[in-house]
Amino acid sequence: MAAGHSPMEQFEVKPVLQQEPLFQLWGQDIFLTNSALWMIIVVLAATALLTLPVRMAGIIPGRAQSVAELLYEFVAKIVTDMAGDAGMRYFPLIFTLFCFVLFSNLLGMLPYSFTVTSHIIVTFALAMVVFVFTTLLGLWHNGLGFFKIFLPSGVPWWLWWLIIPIEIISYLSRPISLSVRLFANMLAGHTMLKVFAGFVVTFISAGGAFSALSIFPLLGAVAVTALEFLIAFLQAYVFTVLTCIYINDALHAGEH
Amino acid sequence: MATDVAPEPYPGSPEPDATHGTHEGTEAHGGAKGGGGLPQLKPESFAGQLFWLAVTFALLFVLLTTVALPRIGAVLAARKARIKADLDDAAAAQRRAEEAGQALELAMAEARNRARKLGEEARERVRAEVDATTRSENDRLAADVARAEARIQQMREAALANVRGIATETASAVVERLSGTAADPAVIAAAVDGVLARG
Amino acid sequence: MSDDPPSDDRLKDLGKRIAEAQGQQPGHKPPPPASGLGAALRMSTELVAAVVVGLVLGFGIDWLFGTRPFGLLVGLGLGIAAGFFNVFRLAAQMSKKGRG
Repeated sequence: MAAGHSPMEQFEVKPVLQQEPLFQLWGQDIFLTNSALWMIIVVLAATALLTLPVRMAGIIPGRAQSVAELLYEFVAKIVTDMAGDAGMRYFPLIFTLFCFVLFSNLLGMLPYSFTVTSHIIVTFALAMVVFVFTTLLGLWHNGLGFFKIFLPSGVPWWLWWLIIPIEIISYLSRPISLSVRLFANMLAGHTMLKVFAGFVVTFISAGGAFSALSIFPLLGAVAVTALEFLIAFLQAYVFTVLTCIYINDALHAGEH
Repeated sequence: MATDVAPEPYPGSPEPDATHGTHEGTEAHGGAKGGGGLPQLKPESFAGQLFWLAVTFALLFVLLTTVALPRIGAVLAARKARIKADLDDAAAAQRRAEEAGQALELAMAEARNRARKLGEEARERVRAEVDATTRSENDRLAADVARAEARIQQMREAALANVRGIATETASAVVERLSGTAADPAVIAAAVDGVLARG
Repeated sequence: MSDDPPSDDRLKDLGKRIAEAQGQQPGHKPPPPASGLGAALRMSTELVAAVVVGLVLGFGIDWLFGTRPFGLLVGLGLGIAAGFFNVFRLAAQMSKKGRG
């Protein structure tokens, strides 16, 4: 079996179009990789879908415009539900995060594509954007009162020595759980897709009676694909919801 | 600098130890968990991914904030205003219709009242007329009856008086014939009166 | 009496429909429900993440102050505690959102 059939091969980051580095940044060679290419495609696709079909003239939106509006209102609803009207000030950032994650997840399901969000370094960086942003927001909004977030109300003073480290660890674990959840879901889902697709190819290429058996992994692949669509959307949703919850925490940290 | 000195980050051909198991069958399953097999854990790709992520994410943020979001927001606001205006119009029209309905109901009720009053008045008037006529007829009839009764009384008294005269004469004639002598007229009159009073 | 009730009822119905439309003007759909598997995955991620952070902090303290292995042990214990805190908080939030 060729290396291309390994379900992990799809996650390999490698240069595309040319093998030479584009330039160097702080001593690091920067290549145009498949990961970089798909990040660019994500940006282009998201911008195109959210910009081109949106016309002022159409009071009754077309299909693509409906999708764009639906995404906008969906995220706006999450923000107002989770972080209130004060959270709507940060809607552009939240919406960008949502779109980046959603389009990465969805475009990663195309055959021969690369799932940007299946790499822990990418999801971790996105989670760190959220973490640093919400921490700075909390400090800016509440000053030193922000540190009350490490001390839930109603804890007796003689338990502080235990609760405060636990709360600090809990706070620091946010970017990890945020990034690992997204990464693990994408990794597992897309591996599963590839495994089923590989079974199909194997059975078909085995020939004879085995080709007929390929219907089973094919059905499995279809089911996994449907599930993957749901998970791609759900993970973008969860990422956004948690971002909003953290923003809400940051806005109201000093209030007890 | 020194691309030849730095370890080649992207081997053009897969390294036999990292991506290839010795066994093809184990590669699909074991390769995922085997050390070094997971491409996500190769740190040499981190810098590039972080760089591109920063660039593309910033680009997406700028594109969305400057182009897409204001556009969608404007369309949504316009539609919301339009829908609100339409709904307000509908509500106003509905209110007007309801008011018209109420006015109609009021007018109907008024008309009904007036009709009832007119009917009652007419009935009242007729009843009064009938009453008056009845009363006057009754009076007239009563007067006639009274007059007739008076005449009857008169006639009866006259008849009674005649009866007394005849009885007295007959009685004195009978007494005279029987006894041969004329009877005392006073006694006869008293006897006749007594009989008449009894009868 | 009661002249043409159907038109009157239709008018009332229209009024109700207009009020409804005004009330729920922007059409929102409810967020997708969290599946049981998804919830379990989220909770285990929360738990593991906190344990990892606790271990890393403990390891860092050991490295800074040379207190090996006590920092690591304390970090592990605190990390597990924080993980359970996370899970409890998530469960409370989920049940509030799910039933409320």
